[in-house]
Amino acid sequence: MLKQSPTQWLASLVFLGIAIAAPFLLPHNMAQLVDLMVFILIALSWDMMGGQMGYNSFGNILFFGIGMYLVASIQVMSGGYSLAEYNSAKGGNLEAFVLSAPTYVISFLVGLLVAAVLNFVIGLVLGFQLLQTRGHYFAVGTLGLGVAAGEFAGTFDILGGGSGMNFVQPPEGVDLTNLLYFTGLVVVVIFYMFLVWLHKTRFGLVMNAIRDNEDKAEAMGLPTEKVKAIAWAVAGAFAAVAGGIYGAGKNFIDPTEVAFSLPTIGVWMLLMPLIGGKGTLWGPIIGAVLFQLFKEFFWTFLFGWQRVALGLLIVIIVVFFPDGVMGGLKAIRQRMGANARKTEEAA
Amino acid sequence: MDNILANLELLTSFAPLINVELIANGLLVGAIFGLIAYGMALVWGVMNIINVAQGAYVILGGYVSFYFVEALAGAAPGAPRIVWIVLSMPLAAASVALLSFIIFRLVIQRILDRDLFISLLATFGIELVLQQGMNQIFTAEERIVDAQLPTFAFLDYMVNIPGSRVLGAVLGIAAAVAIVALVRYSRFGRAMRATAQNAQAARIMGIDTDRVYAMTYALNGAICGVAGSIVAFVYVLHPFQGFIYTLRSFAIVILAGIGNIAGVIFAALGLGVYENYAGFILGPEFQNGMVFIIVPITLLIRARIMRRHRQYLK
Repeated sequence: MLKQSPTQWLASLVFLGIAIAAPFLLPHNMAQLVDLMVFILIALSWDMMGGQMGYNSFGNILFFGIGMYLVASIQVMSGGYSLAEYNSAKGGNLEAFVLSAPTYVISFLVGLLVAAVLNFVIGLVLGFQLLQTRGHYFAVGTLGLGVAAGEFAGTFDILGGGSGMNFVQPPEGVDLTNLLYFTGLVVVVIFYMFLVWLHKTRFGLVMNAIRDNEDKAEAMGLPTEKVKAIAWAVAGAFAAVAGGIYGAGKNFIDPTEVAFSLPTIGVWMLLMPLIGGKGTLWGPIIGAVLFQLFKEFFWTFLFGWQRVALGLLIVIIVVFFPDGVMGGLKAIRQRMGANARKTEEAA
Repeated sequence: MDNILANLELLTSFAPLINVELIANGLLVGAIFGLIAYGMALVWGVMNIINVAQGAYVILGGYVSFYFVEALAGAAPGAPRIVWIVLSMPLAAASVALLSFIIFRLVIQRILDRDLFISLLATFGIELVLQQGMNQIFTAEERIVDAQLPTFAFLDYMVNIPGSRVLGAVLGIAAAVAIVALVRYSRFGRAMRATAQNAQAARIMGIDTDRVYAMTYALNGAICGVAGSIVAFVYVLHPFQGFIYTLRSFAIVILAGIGNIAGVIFAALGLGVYENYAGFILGPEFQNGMVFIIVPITLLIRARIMRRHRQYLK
């Protein structure tokens, strides 16, 4: 499934073309497009663990939030300001803290890079510990970790405490939404190419072996612990980048409502691969696009009740369509194949 | 850091009696947490489903109790509040049990034999629907049932224990005893335990396991309803407060281990005390975080211990 046939490469290029053209076709929906890029990124990064390796993490929001705080802090510090001063000025004269346009862009990109590297390390350290648990224990453990992170983030006064932290205002001359969108797109393309390559390597095969039967994989002498930790670290690094982009788009970090928000992004990142088809390369991407459409539809037409509808959507998809779009396509293809064989036999 | 040291000093040398208050309050709220966690352990043990919606059921039970008490206290202002509170408990239990029975038939039944990821996500979805639905219907305003009980002061006002917590603990323990007796001595309880041990064998012996699952899930709803009506007058009600109870129950059940009733009780009381101490020493803003972090830490320790025997948590 993961090997790229010429048609799949063609599909990728068409998708890329649409993605590049989208900001010019929909200039009034840039905020939604930025969100979409972030969603694709976190869906892909979650699916790398959940879909390909069978470790369903409920706590990848941890990396997302840490990345967000890191990028915001690095941007503040790049202007030579102290974080404590910046955050204590909240609600008052934040206009005093300005960055020049090049500093803003460079510090944003450097921030993303630093967030990726640091979260890779965090993922590695946590992974060697927490990935010793399996199944629902892993899921529940990561869930506890993700929620606890939000609570603790709210206790650091240097990060603005429970009332959160602002991103630095983008200076004149920086087109923020375009910057975020195209940064997101570049990262998505890099991550996609990386995944295509990864699943041809031995590492990717070991990941799938762990999903299929970890005991056997271990008995075959595969380095399961190392592979699990590294895979989670990579997923964490990309989730952190997604967090940085998302936070800059929202311009404001609330520790429990935006950064470490388990009931929203924390669950959406599981739901998107499920909508599209878990454990497939294109499933998370399709899922993210569909989910963003659902979400915008709900938010536009169901005033006040949109979150209820979203919860219902989760239940319905999980109960009735757990194989997602890709699973459905596969079933259709198999049925057609069976029919074709039948007609051949009849003839 | 300084105020943490100051708090520690307060506990150890200046006002050691605060310890008594912290422990007593911790044990009293622990009884309520134990009740909720026991329901979760039942569902987890019998049907292998982690009910993330636990907290939403608790809060819903609280709202039922709140509106019942409000209505009756308005109609008959003379009678003591405790009467209405106690009367509201069966109503809250019955309504949440009915709702969870409906949810079982609509959703849970279909995911019983699926993998755990599916059941976790499905119950998470239910939690979101209930939480957001309650937010729409009951508004985000904090609600309290005023039990109109005095705060008991001991030892020259050094130890203060709210009467509502005492009442909550008493009612919680009474409910827990009734449920444990039901599970241990009734015919239904025996069928439930048989199903938990080996569902296939239970079916062969003529137990309608589907019915047992439905009743277990409804029983859990009833437990949550009772716990909710206690939470309503001990703490506050808010639609988004529910998830904290879910996570506390996780922590308790994981600390105790599945199928360990005595463990659930001790873990719950311990968590109550621990939570009070963490809140006092580190400051109230740390209290929830310190509860949640218990979940991964316990798992890590248990995984470490099991690794020595080449086993793992799964």
